[in-house]
Amino acid sequence: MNTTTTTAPVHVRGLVRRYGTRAALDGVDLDLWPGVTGLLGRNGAGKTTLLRCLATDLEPTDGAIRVLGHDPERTSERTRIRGRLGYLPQNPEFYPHFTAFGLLDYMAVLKELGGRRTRHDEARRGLERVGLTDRRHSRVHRLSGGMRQRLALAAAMLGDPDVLLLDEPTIGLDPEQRIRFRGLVSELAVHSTVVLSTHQIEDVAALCRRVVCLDAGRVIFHGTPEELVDRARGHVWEYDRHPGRGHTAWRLADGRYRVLVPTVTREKAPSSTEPARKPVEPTLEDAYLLLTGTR
Amino acid sequence: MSGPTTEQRTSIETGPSKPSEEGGPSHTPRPLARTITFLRLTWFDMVRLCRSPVLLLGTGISVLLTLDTSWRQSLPTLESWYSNATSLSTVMGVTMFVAVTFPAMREVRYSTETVVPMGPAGRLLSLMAASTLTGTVLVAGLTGPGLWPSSPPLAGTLSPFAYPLPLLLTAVGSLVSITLVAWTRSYLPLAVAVLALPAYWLYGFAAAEGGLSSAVHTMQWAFQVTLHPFTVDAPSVTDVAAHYLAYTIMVALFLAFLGLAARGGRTLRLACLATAVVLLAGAVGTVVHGRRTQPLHAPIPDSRVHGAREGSPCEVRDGITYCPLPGFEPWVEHWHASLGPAMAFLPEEAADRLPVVWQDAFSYQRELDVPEDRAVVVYGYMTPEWRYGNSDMVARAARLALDLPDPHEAGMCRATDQARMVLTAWLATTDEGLSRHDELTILSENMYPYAPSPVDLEVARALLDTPEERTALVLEQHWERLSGPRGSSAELAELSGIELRETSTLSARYEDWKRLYPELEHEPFLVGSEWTRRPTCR
Repeated sequence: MNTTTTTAPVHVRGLVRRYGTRAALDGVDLDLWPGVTGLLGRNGAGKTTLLRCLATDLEPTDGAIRVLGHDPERTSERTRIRGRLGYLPQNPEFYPHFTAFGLLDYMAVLKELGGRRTRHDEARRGLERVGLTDRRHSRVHRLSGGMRQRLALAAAMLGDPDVLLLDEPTIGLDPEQRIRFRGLVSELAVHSTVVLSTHQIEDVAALCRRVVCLDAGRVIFHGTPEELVDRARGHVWEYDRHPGRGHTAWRLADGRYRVLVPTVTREKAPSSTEPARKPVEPTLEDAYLLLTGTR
Repeated sequence: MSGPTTEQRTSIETGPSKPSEEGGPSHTPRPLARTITFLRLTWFDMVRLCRSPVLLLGTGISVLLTLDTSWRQSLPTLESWYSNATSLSTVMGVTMFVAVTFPAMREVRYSTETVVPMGPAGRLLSLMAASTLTGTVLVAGLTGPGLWPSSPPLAGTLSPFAYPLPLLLTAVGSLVSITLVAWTRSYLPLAVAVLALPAYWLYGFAAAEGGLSSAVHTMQWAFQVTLHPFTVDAPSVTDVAAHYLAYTIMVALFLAFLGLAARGGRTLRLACLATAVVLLAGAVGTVVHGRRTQPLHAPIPDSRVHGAREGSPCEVRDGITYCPLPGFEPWVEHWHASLGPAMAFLPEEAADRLPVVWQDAFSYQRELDVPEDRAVVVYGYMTPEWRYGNSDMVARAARLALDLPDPHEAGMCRATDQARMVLTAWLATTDEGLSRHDELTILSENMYPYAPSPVDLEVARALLDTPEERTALVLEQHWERLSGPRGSSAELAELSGIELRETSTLSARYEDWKRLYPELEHEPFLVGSEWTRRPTCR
């Protein structure tokens, strides 16, 4: 990286993006540093819009963005950002007549990765990374959904970008591939700033140093996963029967119920009218659900 | 929110070592890096286009057309080269129109969320460059060898403005396709190509003027007018070729800017659309100017033809005047080789009736001051084996010398029992190396329009076996009589010492032809009774 200041690689201030009158992002402030940052939020919270703005694919309505110290509003700087950025969109569509290798070669040309030999080496490395070496001659339209997702991931990671933006990258991946994906991303995140937008909380728990939660276009939490989990302590219980309406609860495999209680409550002795309950250690998922459910 | 850790800050300040930063374009100045990427992408697209099955098929067809010599003349000219090159480039243009649909779709439909330094307009421009270059290389490879220095060099001239035109036509094919895809984001060019062939096929078989046939006819007309909007397509005429080149360049650029307008941002889109409008206006203006400069059927003097010599284009050989088009001067030798010996049989008295052989162009009407009563027109087509073509030229020259009206012009007449008709046909057979069948065919072709009698047929046939010197002597001694309408075939026979068996001086019937020229196949309708109703040639 060429930046010589202490500015965050991804720096966002007062970011607003409107679609008509609806604000998909409404005054987002963020500083993202090398490592994996998980981006959580319900559907429509503004995660994809934020990633597209960071990827210079979408122009903000208002606010400032700096990626690697460059202002994407300026054409020349936007180009520089794009040269050092990897972006995996939510539903990547690839030209179906490309082979897997051909697609990565094409992307390597566009990413300015150098001459033919360098590009081909990089394309081969990309295929190897996502376990598609044996399918390098297969046309994209002949690959399964999961394979296509892996190929898209390989395309986004070509050239080991300084900033990697991943929008739902693990959709369609089997558990083995997800583990592999985590290894890849964490390896890249040693030097790069990775933003991982996902609904897979376990991926966030396994990978992310920091978590950003969005709701209705606003940041409602930005901190470490541990900080988020800490917030949930005392709010998660296990009941021996359903606590009734008004609670966020779900049945567990052993027949008990896991219940999220918005307000911190003390342990009480069981009574004949109330179900027996005990506090449990919250998970990141509990914390996230509490965070979004309380608003 | 929290700031970076010391470790993170250090990492940002020093920066990791990345493969992409080692000597890659990120260390080169942006304009250079952009140019390098553009060139690499263009090369990438060219390589992929060359592997396209559609392009391979189209190129294969073009190669077959190039190798098929049956439709080419054995003495090619620069204009025939241009015509062949244009046909091949049209085939290649249609091929590129289809082949480039796929990569265009890749850029337009499947790369919408691709975030890379080169924007969508740049990528589309690169594809335009790749398809244009691929088409250019292929067409140049297919047509270029035709211009290879040969001996003798290709006859005729071509304006320098005409050479790039075949290449541009191919480029226009791919640019139309890319622009259609850019605006419709669909495989429309492919659909057009797939539907156009059956529609054209149906059009060919449509008996009535149905809706389909008239629609196809209109489309065909529009295609032709767009391709050739000027009154003439004369590649040797400097200003005409320049107009056509300017028009084609403007159309190609118009298509390119129109296509880019579909992919650029707001500012680029407006700029491209404005430029496209200006280019379209320029193209239309060029057509209007070109059509005014060169109205339909207006003759074109040699001074406007590229490579025309100063002074008169004509030269006289043995009393015969030859006026070739610029660049066709070596052909005088060919013409005179056929015409000279035949005209040598004519006496001195015929000197003032010897022909002026002037060459008219296929593609335009040549402006040349030639005495009408001595003019024999030839064109830019020549083959040493083309016996009937040579004999036709000699026959036309002989008709002028013997004052026999042209049978194909208005006011057709019959010359039944006229010696000059028989002599004209005989002179047409005096070329070297003709077989007996060729001679009889030439006799037949030059007599039947004049409704000859059995006596005429017999005398003409007998002249083939009479020593040429004797016939020449008869002509010299009785020129005035035999070259007029009153000199009969019977007199010619008597003067030449030919004994006649036929007696009828009425127009020969189908049976007479079969009997007197049994070696030939005769068409009854060619010797029908209508000939007898024509007035006698005076």
